[in-house]
Amino acid sequence: MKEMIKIIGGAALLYLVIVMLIAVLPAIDLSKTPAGPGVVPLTPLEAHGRQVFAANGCAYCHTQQVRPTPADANLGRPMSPGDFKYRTPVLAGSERTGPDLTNVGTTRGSDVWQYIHLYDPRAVEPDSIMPNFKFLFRVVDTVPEGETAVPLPPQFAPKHGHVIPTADAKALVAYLLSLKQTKIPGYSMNGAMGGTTSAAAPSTAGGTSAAGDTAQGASLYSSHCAACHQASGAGLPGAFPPLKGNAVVQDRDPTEHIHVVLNGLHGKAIDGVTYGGAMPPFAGLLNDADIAAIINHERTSWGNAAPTVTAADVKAVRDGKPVAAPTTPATAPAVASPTAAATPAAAEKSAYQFDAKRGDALYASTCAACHQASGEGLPGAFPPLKGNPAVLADDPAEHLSTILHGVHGKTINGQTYSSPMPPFGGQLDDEQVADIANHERTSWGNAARHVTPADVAKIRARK
Amino acid sequence: MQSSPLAPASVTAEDEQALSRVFSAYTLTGTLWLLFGTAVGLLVAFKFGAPDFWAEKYLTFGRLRPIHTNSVFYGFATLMLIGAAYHVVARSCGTRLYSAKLAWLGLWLFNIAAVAGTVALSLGYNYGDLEYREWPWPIRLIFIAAVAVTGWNLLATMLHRASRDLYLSNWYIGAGVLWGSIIAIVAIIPIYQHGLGMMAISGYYMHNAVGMWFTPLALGLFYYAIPKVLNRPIYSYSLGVLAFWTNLMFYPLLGGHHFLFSPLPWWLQTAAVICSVAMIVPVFAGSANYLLTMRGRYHGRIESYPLAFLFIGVLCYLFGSTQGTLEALRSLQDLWHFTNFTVGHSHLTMYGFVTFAAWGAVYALLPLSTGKNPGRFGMATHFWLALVGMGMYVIALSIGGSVQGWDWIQHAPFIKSVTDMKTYYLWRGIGGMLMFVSHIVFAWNVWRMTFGKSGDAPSPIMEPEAESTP
Repeated sequence: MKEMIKIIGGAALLYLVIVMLIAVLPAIDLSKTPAGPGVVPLTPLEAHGRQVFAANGCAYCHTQQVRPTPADANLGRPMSPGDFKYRTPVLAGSERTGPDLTNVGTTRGSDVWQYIHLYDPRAVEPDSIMPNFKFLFRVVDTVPEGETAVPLPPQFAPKHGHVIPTADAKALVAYLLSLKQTKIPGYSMNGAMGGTTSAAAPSTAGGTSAAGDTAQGASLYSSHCAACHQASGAGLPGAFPPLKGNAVVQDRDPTEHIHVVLNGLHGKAIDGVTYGGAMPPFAGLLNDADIAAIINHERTSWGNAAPTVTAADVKAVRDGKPVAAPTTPATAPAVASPTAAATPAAAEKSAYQFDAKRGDALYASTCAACHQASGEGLPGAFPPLKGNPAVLADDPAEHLSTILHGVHGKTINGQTYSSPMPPFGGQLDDEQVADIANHERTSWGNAARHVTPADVAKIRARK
Repeated sequence: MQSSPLAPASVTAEDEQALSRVFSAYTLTGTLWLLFGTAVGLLVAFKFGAPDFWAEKYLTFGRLRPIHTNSVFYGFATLMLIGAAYHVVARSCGTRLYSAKLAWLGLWLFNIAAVAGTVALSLGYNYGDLEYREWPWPIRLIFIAAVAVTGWNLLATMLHRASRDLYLSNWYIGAGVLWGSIIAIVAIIPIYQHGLGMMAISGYYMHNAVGMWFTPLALGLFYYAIPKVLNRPIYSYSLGVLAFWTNLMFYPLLGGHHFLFSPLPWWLQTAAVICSVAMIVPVFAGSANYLLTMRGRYHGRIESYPLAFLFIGVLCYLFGSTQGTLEALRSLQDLWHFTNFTVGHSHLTMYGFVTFAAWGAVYALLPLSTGKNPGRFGMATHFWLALVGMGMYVIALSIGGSVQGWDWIQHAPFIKSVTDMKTYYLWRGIGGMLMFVSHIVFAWNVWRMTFGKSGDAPSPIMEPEAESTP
């Protein structure tokens, strides 16, 4: 009896002490770790998506954990304790059979891509070994009001009907798109947020001379662009535009091409096809040399034969200056270049990046009372913004003017609205107006091009 | 429990039968979980090559994967180890089982938990993909109740032992059930598990479930089964004592090595690395003790399959643990963490060590309990298929995992690390297939040792060597 208490009781007691010291007490302390800068709780929809993520065991193949190691240097900045405040369950993962998802909201920021990929991963990545998640989708004969069919390539689509996401799929995609690292003020890794490939691979010369490194360009293209535009450069019909033979890519003046890679693109018609998905901006993810390498890969592959660019050109566009060999930017209205490198406000323009969350919040507090969160307005009282011609117009003049100066007694789609809309020019600055306008232009199925604070300033100055 | 431990209840033939029935029932249900869990494992391995195969909701990879790990951990390994532990504790204490009823109650609770856990995971009730504690908490409460009932029964049996001294096996088994209860309770309390706090508990749990639950039970079986089969005493009692206390000092801390380079406090990570290295002491002391007990019986290892299973178990304990020490070094983490190398490591340890130990103990002890032997050919088939299958499995994933890690360090496009693994996934699948077939043979052997017709294998106890009695 005595010996048993000594040995087994002692062993249990000692273990209990060790467990308190190395697990329970640290965990009590760590649970109080405050949120890092910009780290926000998930919305109810995103939280629902996280449940779908955990229920289907996504974390068994996908980590959400960037380490300060060479292997992880191209995945983002290393995790900081503040990143975990709202991450219960943590879903950090233990295997990386598939890629890390810490920044998937940035690197695969297109909901269309996410839907296609979930429905059949091999539609966008032929070598993928991820299972399909067709059980998160429904096949319907006619697309119901308010739903959007997933634009699947024909060989991956069901023979009949349209594929629409279920509530679980929408929540999951909302969660995935919310996975973005926040910037930590004062923290920098190679200048940009997150590491870059050329910083970590010592074989690559940094700075301006990296442009000629074709292997580097091919590799970067493969990890950052091929998911949508495909290794063949052919894109996916109806979902992602081709780069092969693409007018912007082939243009001798690289300004537009560089600008799109830096700042992303949304709702643009290319060869008569309008693409629903948004291309994410890469300015925060890659440095100038890497972007130059990617652009040169695109300009010289698949039969494309356009002049190459240098890291200095990328820097120039990033800073809103004209590129080194200035071919006068064509003012072709069909392209409607948001670059407009010639205007004096260009510097401010390229510094602005539409932040969907900010736009959403501003819209909710300023506009949704009348126009409704759904953008559908109230019949006979407040006009819909969804499908509204002024909102969808490629020229944003009327849209911006209405927000700035208000409107009264206007007839929209045959219906006259008597209640006046107040002017918001006095209470919102240019950037806020741009955020709201962009939210409206890209929500509820709307897909018009983005506007910039400079555009707003122009309209404001007109009156 | 006031009755004096020095006055053991005399063991009747009825008690012997009751113990034998308990041992058989635990082994049989454990074997069913082995078949189910590894069938799921095989299906999951197959999906690496055919991702669209059975991709339906309830059969999707991410739901089957935790079903595989939980059913082999808490269905198979736990039941097999505890069944043999009842036999070891009662016999080494020279007494009857404290309560056969409690043993049956524990068996029901373990099985109910494992069935409910499997159904819950399949329906998508997963506790945050936190490894080895995915079952929803009510089901884990049932598991905790099962461990508590088992611990009570085993410790009460030890209290009624005939001898004054407590044999080493009982140190490990007795402490193991208490450690197991502490682990399960710490992991289920939610108040300190938010964000990083949850991550710290996960790191603790993942490795303590392995190191302070499965490992002590398996080592406890080694200390009884190896001397029993060899018909000679353990080489050194003191080495066993050293291994016991050092294991307790070093093992609990090393779970943090699953989260090296994470934002967990650096001291916790460094302590984990140091303790992973310090684990060399108990691992080498324990392995040396077992191997020295087998000294001079090289021939016997081939002749006696129970000993062959135990021998492989000891070797994998030595290799697997040493490999774990290496993996915990920060420089090697760079290469291997998050890769399939760790999957190879977990099979070398949970399969090569724990599972072979459980099989060795069952082959060595169940015939003594039931009086029935398996067939010699059946044991041989089981042994070689399992050994070769595991070898292919571990080697394929060790090489593949290194390739994978190297691809990431090179910053190759991610998909390259997927396509590079194809061959290794295939070999892993072939190895897994051999392992699964061996389990069917094992199930047949278990049937012959319990309810079936006794086979032609000789008694697991070897003839004592007259000239080398220490």
